[in-house]
Amino acid sequence: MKILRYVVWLCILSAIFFIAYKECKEKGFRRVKNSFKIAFIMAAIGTGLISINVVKFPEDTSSISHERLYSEEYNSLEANNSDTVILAKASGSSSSGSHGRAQPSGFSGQSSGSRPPSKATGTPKYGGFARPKFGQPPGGGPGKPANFIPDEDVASQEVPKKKEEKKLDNVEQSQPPKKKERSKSTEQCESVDENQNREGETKEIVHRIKENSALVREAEIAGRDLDAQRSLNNMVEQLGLGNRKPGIGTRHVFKDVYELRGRGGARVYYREVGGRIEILAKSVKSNQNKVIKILKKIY
Amino acid sequence: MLVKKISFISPNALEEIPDIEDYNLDVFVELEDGYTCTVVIATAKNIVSLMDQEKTNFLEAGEPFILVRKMTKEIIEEAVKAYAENDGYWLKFYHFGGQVDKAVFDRLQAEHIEHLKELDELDNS
Repeated sequence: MKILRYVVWLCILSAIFFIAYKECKEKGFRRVKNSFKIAFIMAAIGTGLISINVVKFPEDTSSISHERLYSEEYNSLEANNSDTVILAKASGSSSSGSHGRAQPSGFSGQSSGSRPPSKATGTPKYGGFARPKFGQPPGGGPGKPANFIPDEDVASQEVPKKKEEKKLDNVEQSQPPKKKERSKSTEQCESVDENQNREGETKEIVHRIKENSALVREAEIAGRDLDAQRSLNNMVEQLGLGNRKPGIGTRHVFKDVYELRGRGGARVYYREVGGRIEILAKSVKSNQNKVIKILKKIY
Repeated sequence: MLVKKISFISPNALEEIPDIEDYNLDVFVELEDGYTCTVVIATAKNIVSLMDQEKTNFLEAGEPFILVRKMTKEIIEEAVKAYAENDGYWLKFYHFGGQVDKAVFDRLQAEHIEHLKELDELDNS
């Protein structure tokens, strides 16, 4: 392939030499020399033997200077050939080699990556070494790296999460507050209903009747009747199993104290504290009023 | 017997009633002699509810209820005053119902049997 390249180079060299020789206004040896220079360079460029990276030239337009860096292939070419490396400086001359080489400012000064194809058939167009800006993909050439995420996409990804969080906050805020604008009596009624409707929850039972001698005495009076005692035991058992509506119905007495009412007149007084049920007193109809008065004093 | 005062288990007991046609309530009746009777006033609908609750075809034996149409203050007072008549007999009956010793019924039964025998002897003579 290299041999073919050199053959093509020679053909182009000779053709350009003759053209440059004719066009050159100088005479004698200089004519030949300059023609040969131009032909040599142009042929090398045309065959891809030389890759040119043009450095951004200064704004001083008085002297236009171009610095060209040659690729390793050209260096190899130099190694193979005895030809010297030529840094062409176009200082206002009409040499066509440097004419019209004003490059856009976005080009980097380092050779990397995208180079025009080295095949003779796929010669790039003039100026094809120009690299696109980072993030601006060319027509088919290299563009942004694979992991590049523009700032806009990152921001858009964060927004839905924030929206979801906002939605959750709004849902929580939109939930109406419970039991704020209700009268005390209805609250009591509801608390009674809630207390009654909570079933199936087995809870620990703590007997606190023994803490007061008066309540102990009244409980003993209530237990004298065997049927009443049976009814009292049954209601306490049902309460422990989570049934808050044994007998003929539970009623709210005061504060957090409730009364279980048996069919035979038996009454059990309890309250729920810290997830435990406290049995406070027991009575029958005959001492019901008295027991309630004692409970109100204590609790 | 005159009724001195009618009170409930809590001051707001009547306001807490969810359904005045299906409820029962303990009512404390203070009589003129200072004695306080405790009676259970219930609605007819509540009796059916209790049977439904216990899943029975009859109301289980227990303390008697004073039946009213609705659980309102006016109707309760009307019923209590009616039951307090005749020197508070029925009021006390509903108060002590379920607390009377069986021996009393046995004594009453024996007295009644004795009375029936005397009647038969009179018929035969």
